[in-house]
Order: sequence, then structure tokens, then C-alpha cells
Amino acid sequence: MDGGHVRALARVVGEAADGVRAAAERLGAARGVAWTSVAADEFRARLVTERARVLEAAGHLDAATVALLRHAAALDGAGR
Amino acid sequence: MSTPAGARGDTAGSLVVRGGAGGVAARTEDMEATARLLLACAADLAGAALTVGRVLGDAGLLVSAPWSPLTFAHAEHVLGGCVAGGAGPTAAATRVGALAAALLTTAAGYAAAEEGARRAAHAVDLAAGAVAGRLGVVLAAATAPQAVEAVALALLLDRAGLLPDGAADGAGVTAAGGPGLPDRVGGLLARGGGATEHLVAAVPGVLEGLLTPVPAVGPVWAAAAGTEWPPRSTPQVSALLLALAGAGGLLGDSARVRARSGRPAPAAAPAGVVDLAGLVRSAYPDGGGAPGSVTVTRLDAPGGARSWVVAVPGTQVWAPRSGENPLDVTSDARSLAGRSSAAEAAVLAAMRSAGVRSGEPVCLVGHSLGGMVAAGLAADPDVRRRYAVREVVTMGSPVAAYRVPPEVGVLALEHGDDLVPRLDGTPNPDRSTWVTVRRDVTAPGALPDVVATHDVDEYVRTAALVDASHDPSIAAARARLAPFLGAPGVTATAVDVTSTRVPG
Repeated sequence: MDGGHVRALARVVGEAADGVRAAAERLGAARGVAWTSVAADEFRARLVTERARVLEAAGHLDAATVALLRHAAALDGAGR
Repeated sequence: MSTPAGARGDTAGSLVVRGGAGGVAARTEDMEATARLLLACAADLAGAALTVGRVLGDAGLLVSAPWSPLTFAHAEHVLGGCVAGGAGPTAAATRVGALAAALLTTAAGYAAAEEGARRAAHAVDLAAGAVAGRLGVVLAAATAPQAVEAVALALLLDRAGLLPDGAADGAGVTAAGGPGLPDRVGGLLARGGGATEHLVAAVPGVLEGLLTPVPAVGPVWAAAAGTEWPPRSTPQVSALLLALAGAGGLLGDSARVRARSGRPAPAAAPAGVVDLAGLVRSAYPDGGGAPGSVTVTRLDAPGGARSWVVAVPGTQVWAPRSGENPLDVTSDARSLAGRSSAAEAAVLAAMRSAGVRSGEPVCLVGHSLGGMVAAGLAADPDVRRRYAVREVVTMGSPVAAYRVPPEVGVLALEHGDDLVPRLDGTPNPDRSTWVTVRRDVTAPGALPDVVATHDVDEYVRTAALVDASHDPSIAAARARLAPFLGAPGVTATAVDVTSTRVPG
């Protein structure tokens, strides 16, 4: 058994991580809303926190990608 | 100067701005747009979570476990954390979705509060009017004998030459040279600000209250006028009064005109709102226009694109019996009632005669009746199907009741001490494409001159202040007007089209 299939899975997860990072950037853009009130300030603060947490989720997907690539390499080694 | 709710002063402090890019509606629109953006983010995050879930359960991955159990277990552990853990995309999608829902709820709350406040104020005005109307009936019945005695006594004293000159009519200028009673009342109403708007809004209620002792009259009157009973808005009251006048042979209108076009001539392209106002000023007879004429200006851009500015002056004839000039008080009354008028027909005839083609952007600019006609045409779906009406600029016009769609921009200039724009008894809508700019012409503490505050020249001065303003709503409105203003290479051609009413 070689690691080709698992490497393809790692690519899929890596693309998902990129998608999550793009979503985080869009959340950052949403902070630019023009309205002003106490609720708006709270909302903006929450968006900042949420963006950080989404980037953290992207980091977890990166870790999953790395784990899959390591597993693929191990499979390559086991097959030789 | 007091600033009404939802309004704010511009940087110069002389203009009060409501609506537009900086208004309440624009904020709720922003919230809704942001919520949509968050929902899209939540959908992307949910999609990522789904992808990871599929990888986690992938058959090829699962069968690879025996070849390298340790790396397999680690990969499964990390992937599992992404799907089910609190820090993964699944949890993020849930949180962002909840944030979007909260935002939508807040936006709906803002909109409901604005609409609720408006409706509540209107209901109070109507109820107060109804009470005042019923009270009026009671007072009239109670004081009728004394009133008859007083009039008889005044007539006797007048015959005997014992009354000072002018005391019997109470109008015009007093012996001391000060303003007469009508001017004083007009001035006080004009100074009344928002209170006058509430007073006008109470009129439908007053009418209902006055007719309480004869309940059968109202529905019959309304049926004859083609409106509802009891009336709830100024247009409905206007329709009732129009029917009453019609019974007396007044304010009748065929709503048809015969148009005669002048010779098109090169003109200066308008450079700002002040020049758009100036076009209306020039269309008045004392500004050089023929009675009943509308000025249509064509702007030709270097690439061949054409846009049009249609300048519509206000009332020129005050006789209640309609005549040749379509810009008369008959068209005023009909426009206020939301009915077709010869003034509307004159504007459409002018556009047709000038060669406005379907799809070419049109900006309608009007003062007083001209503004009402402009808003009425922009609100008419049939007109919008025929012409690409993009912008409306009004000066001293009661236009709140016209249902101009959001895709048409409205810049409404109103003097706080001008009675005419308050005749609709309701504030203009607050929305991102409708900007209302108010300016008080009268010095603080002075009694407004009801004619001067409505004068087109004064509105031209207000338009100059609008051009100089840095208010964000005004700046956005000016940007929308850019296709109708001069730019390098743009040429302008103007034509005056004069209409006469076809007798009904």
C-alpha cells in the first residue's frame, strides 16, 4: 500500500483550511460596518474574537493535513 | 436649531440631514448586509467541516491503519478534533451562524422600532384630530347664537362707520405696518417645526370628528371621491376636498396637454446641485421661461452616452378654476391627492418632445409643485417602464407620501420654516437612497415670512450649501447625481417645452 491516496486526502483537507482562512478574512471585513451604537461596539469586539477562533480552526486543519502527510509517508516507507 | 430624531447637523451646522448613507435605514441595511456575509462565512465553515468529516470516514484511509497504526491513530485523532472539538470548523460555523442570526434580529428590531414610532405618532395625531373635530362640533353648536350676534353687531358698527379700516376683514397688513392675521398665523405655523407636521397629520382625524354627528355623509363622500372613509392620510383628505371642489366646478383637470417645443440651444452643463436648482429657477416666467414651460437639458458624454435633466417649476397660477397653464393650483391639489394632473402630462410631453429615449438616465428636478410632480412620476411604475428615472431632486415640496422606489435616489431640500413641504403631514422616509436636507431660513426668534421661506431663490442658496457640505449622506447623494453634472468633454443642450392644458 502506498501513501498516494492519503496524500490526496491531505490536499483536500489543506484546501478546506484555505477556505476557513478565507472565511476568517471575510469576518475581518465585516468589522467595517458603518453603524455606531453600544451594541455595534460589542458586536465588533465579538467579530475580532470570532475571527481569531476561525483562524485557530484553520490551524487545526493544517495540523490534520500535516498528520495525514506523515501517515502517507509512513505508508510509503512500509510499502518499500 | 433643534435636530429631529434620526437627523444630524452637517459640519457647517446650518443644514440638518436625515436619511441617506448616514441614516438609520442605511445602518440597518448595513447590519443585514453584514449578517448575509456572516451567513456565507458560516456556510463555508460548515462545508469545510463536512469535508473533514468525509476524510475522517474515508474507506481508503481506514484500511491503511494496519500498515502504520501510530501515524493513522494520530491523523484520526487530529481530524476528529476538527469535526467534534470546540476549536474546529464545525463549532466555528455554529458560532458564526448564531452571530448572523443575532445581527438580523437586531436589524429587524431597529426597523420595527422606527416604523413603530412612526405609526404610533400617526395614530396619536389622528386620535387628537378626531377629538378636536368632535369638540369643534360641540363648540360650534354652543357658540352659534353668540357668533351670529357678534357678526350682526360688527356689520351694524361697520355701517355706522364706527369700525377702524380693515378691522372687518382682518387680512393683509395692519395699520401699524406689521404682518396681518393670515401672515402671522402662517408665520407661527411655519415656526412650529415638527408640531405643524403633527397638526397637518391630525386633519384626517378632524374631518372624521366633524362628521361624527352625520355618520352617513363620510362614506358617501369618500365613495364619490374614490377614497376610503375615515381618511387616514393627507392624500386621502386631498382626494375628499378635490371631490368637494369638483362638485362646485373647481379644480377640474383633463390631465392632458398640448406641447410646443422651443429651439434646442447649447447650454452650460450643471456643475452641482446649485445649478440643478438654477435650471428650475430659470424655468419660471420671472426667470426667463414661458408660462407652463419645462426645461429639458441633454448631457452628451464623449463616449456617446446621454443623460437628461428635467427642470420643473412650481405653481404659476393660483385661480381655483383650471385654465391653460398646467402649473396651477389644480395640479397642486391633484398631485397632493396622488391623482394624475396636467402638470404631470406637461413633464411627460416635454420629455417626449425633447427626445428622451428609453434607458437613458433621467434626473427630475422640481420646486414646490414641480417637486411633487417629479416624485409622483418617479413613483409611477408606468413612467419608470418608459423612462429610466434615476434621481429626483425636490425643493420645498411635500413628497413623503409618494412611493418612490429605493432604486431611485431622492434629494429633498426643505426649509424648516417653509410650510409647503409639511403639507403631507409626515416626515420623509429614512432610507439609504433618500436624503432630506433641512435648513432654517428665518433668524432665531423672528417670525418666518411664509412667502420668502418658500421662494425658489432661497432654495437655490440652500442648494449651494448642499454643494459645500461634507455630510456623508449629502456626499453620497451628490455622487449619485454625477451622471447629470458636467465633466470634461460633456456638452449640454437645453430646450424649453411649453404646454397648455386641453380643456376637460
